[in-house]
Amino acid sequence: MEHSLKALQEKALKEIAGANDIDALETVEIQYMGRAAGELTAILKNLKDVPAAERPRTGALANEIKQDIEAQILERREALLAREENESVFDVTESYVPRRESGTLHPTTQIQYELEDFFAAMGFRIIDGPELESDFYNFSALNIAPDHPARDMQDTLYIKDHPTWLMRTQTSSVQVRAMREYGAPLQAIASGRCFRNEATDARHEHTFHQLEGFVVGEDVSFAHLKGILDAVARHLYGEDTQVRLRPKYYPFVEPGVNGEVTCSFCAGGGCALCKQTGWLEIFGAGLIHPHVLKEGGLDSKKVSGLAFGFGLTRLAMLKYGINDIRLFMSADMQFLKQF
Amino acid sequence: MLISFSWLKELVTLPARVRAEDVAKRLSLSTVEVEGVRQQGADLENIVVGIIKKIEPHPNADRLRVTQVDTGGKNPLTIVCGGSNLRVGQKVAVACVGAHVRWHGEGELVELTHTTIRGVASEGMICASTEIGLGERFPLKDEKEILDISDCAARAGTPLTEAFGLGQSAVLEIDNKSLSNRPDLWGYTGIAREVSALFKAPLVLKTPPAIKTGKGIALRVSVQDTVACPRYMAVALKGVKAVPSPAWMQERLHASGVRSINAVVDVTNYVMLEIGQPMHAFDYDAIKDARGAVEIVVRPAKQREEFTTLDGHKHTLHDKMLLIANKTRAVALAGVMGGDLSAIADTTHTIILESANFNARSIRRTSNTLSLRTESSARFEKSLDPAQAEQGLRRAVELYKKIFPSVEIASIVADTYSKKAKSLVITLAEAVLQKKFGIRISLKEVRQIFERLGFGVSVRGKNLRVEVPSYRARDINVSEDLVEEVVRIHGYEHIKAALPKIHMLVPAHAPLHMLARALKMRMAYENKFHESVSYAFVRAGALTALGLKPENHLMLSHPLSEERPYVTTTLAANLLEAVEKNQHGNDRVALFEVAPVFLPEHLKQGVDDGAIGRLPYQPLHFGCVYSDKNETHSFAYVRDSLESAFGAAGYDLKFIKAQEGARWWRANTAVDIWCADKKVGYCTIVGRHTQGLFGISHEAVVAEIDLSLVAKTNFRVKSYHVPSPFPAVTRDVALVMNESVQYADVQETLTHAHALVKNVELFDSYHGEHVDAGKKSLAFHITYQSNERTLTADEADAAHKALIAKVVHRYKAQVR
Repeated sequence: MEHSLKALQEKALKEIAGANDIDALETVEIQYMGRAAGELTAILKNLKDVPAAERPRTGALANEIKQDIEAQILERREALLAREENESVFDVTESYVPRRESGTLHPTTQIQYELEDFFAAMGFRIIDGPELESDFYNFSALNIAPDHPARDMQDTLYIKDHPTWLMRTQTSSVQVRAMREYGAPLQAIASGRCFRNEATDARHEHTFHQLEGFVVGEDVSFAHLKGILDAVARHLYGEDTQVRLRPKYYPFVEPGVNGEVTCSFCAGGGCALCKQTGWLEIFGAGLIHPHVLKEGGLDSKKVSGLAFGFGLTRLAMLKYGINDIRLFMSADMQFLKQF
Repeated sequence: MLISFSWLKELVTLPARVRAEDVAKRLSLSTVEVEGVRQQGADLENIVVGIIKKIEPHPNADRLRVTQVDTGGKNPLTIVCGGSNLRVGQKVAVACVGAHVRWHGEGELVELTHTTIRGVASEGMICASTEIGLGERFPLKDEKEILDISDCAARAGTPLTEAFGLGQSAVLEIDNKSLSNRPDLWGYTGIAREVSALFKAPLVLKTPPAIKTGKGIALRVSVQDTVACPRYMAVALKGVKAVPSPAWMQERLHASGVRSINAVVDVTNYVMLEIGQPMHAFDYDAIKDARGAVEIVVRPAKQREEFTTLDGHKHTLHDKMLLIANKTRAVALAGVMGGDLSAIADTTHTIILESANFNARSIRRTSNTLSLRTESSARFEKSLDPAQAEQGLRRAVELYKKIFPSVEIASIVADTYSKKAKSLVITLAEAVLQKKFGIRISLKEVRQIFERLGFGVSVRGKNLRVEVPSYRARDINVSEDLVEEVVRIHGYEHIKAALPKIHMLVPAHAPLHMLARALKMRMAYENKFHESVSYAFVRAGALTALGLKPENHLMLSHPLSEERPYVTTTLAANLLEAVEKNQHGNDRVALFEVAPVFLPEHLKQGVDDGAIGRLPYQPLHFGCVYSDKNETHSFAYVRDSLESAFGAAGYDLKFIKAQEGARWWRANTAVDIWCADKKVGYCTIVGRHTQGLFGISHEAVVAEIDLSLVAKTNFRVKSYHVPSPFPAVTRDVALVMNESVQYADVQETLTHAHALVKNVELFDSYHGEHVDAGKKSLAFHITYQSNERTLTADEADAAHKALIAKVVHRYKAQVR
């Protein structure tokens, strides 16, 4: 018995090793291990006929041989499948048909949402205001005097037959509305379309997007303005980004500054994008003018404020290297699809 | 504005180590934007004085000459030249090899190399003024004329910069836009004052002496509009002549970008540059009356009065424009430009010198209306200091005396200034500096900053009493303005950044904002639409194509383009135009936009205007358009997209077939869109006629929804069902029925046809040759499932049979 078992084992292992494809291996498997007529199955079934004294020993040997054969079959199967897979051809570059395409959000929307999330996480409230504004909220409340050039027909889009209505020229028009509605303390941002009466070319567009932010409260200082602008600049352009402030006149802030960041393309070394200066101008900012606080119903002796504004369109142009501003409003899918 | 560094250094004593670049940088960080520093004369390197020794014809070209030119070297250079005014002994500007020139005065600078012209080697170039950037200074009289500098004393070989005394002077280019709020900076004096404060360097300002009244010419000035002209000063000067001004003056004018004309005019320009005060000189003979007296009247123009400025342009004026006139006629457009008839001429011997102050708004209006911008109008429209007019007049007289030693004051000094403005005094507390800026700076230092800037200062305990000089009255009004002065001179870089200690706020509930954002994400990333952002303005044609009346729209008073004057009430107009634009390159045009529309007739819902009224109502709209050449069920695609996008945002939409709609909707294809109990929008296929009006080639579906309305309905809380642990069984059925039967009704019937129905899904909708005319086939997957047990095949079949019986009976359908 023992002898024939060993012989069987030897024969089976040889045939397993000789099986050259999965079908041949299955034939071998059935020949030995088949439930009905397998040669080893038959021996195992006949174990009961073995004398009782030999049975444990023979039984153990038969089981050992069974496990060995099963293990060898498994190993051979893996090898054969691997060989088959290795020999097959598969084009990993082939595209799915029909082509899967996503829709897209407009590039300024994407930057707007990115900044909204950033400011919301800092505790800013997201608000909005009308695009068709009154000259009061857009100009007078913001300390822009009646003879200021910005109020000229040449610069602002007014509504016919309604001399006090205009298309807002800046998102700062929300400041006094928000102060009147929410009072202080308040930190809020607003974004959206702004309008200027300007001829359109590759660098000028009469409709563009801004994001405005402001903080009013006790002890709001210029240091805080710098702190917030630093944080935004790093968020947008990386931890090493520096901010530089330079005086700039805006009637609704005092002092007013424009903010530049180290050019993200040349890291400040000077390149075509930053016109060799190493700096990119990306925001206007300042401490809110007492006149504006007063119009907002706040006491400028107790409350101070800071404000800043970004051109979202400009940020998108810098981020993607877009050199023609007209593309933003073009509804051209060749442009939109890229974002 | 161009600032010559050497001129500037005469007004403020800077340490020798301070370079023009250092001044530019400090000015940029604290005062105005300096766009660049140009080394004047840098372009003239390798260009020297040459003397023509010999001129011979060119063997191969009639129009060229071969010259021998002494440029100071051992041998003369052979230079081929086509100049029309060449002569032996002439001094010329020779560009040697390595110099940079502009061929024929056009294009980029090109480096000169050894070259052969028509077979003759040429070792340099005899230049025309325009070829070496001197065209302004030496205008060409003839295209082929080369620059003749025979007047110049320099020897052959002298660098041109040296010959012209250009040296290597730096010029700062200042961005005029950054000066808009600082009228005091429109002259060297103002810039010098800033530089003095920034570098703690002493200012060298000399006050010109008062003018001694003279006799001979009766001079009278009257001003009819003292608002438009707060001050007018004039004086008569005898003994001037329109000769070239001295080299030093020409040099400074040139470095500052102003062309030298003659000494009489140059003085007025020089004073304007130095002090910032525009001046004007009238030819006495041209404005005197018959008795030799001069009576100047500052008056508004008559409606449609005509006036010719000294540049030869004729302008038609209106009554808001201010003129300088005598009894008989106008002689200058106040503050903008003089007239041609009273301009300084070769015959001029006596002048009436004007130094006035004009209202900024009036000047700006005139200059804008006439599109006539001058150095003078640019300054007046910034609001100049009336006190400056007197300094200007004194300084001009001083300069005339210097140039024409025999000049005489021939009249009184006329001055119409009545009310002298009282200077403003502001108290500044030391604590404010710390509180608002977090900087520590001693009162002594603050005091020095103000003194250098020309403010009067006295210390009162912890406060400073600051008197604002008249030339800063325009931009310094409150203590915040003073603080800015200190901080910017001190330097913004010295303020340490810090984040505010936050007061936490309860976030405002902003359902509209959240809805818009969720909707945009879903429309783009799930339904594959592209977000478009467009103008708020539309064409009349687009409105009428949509059955809207342009006259019911708000209109821009000065439209950007005649094409789009209307402020839109619908997003559909621009979206449909976008389909036309995109259809050629894209089989599938799928766009959406979220933007406000502007409804003039809904004033009650509009927000306040800050006065007593309200603004037009500006609800936020969502609009989308879909046109896909490979899609047969565009309408269903859009409707399902809306349903899922709004559903995901928390708002359930209902689509109810529109009983009546706009004329541009394709008949029978429109639905009203409802949210809760509000009708919020529509979805339709564009009617074929309107499709044609927009030039759209393929069927387009449009939907527009008022998000402001949707956001006012209740946000839906999503419901959920316990999932059944037992397997589901699916059976299919295809039903043929009349086309008039609505899918939604069939779906509803199937869903409630049997208790075991878990889900009903349409997988095919068919019209065509395999069904009878007037019929359609709808095929469904029906899912049966129990929450209590595993269904047997028999149970499922029985339920399916009952379901079919019900739907067949109800809709007179046949199973296909």
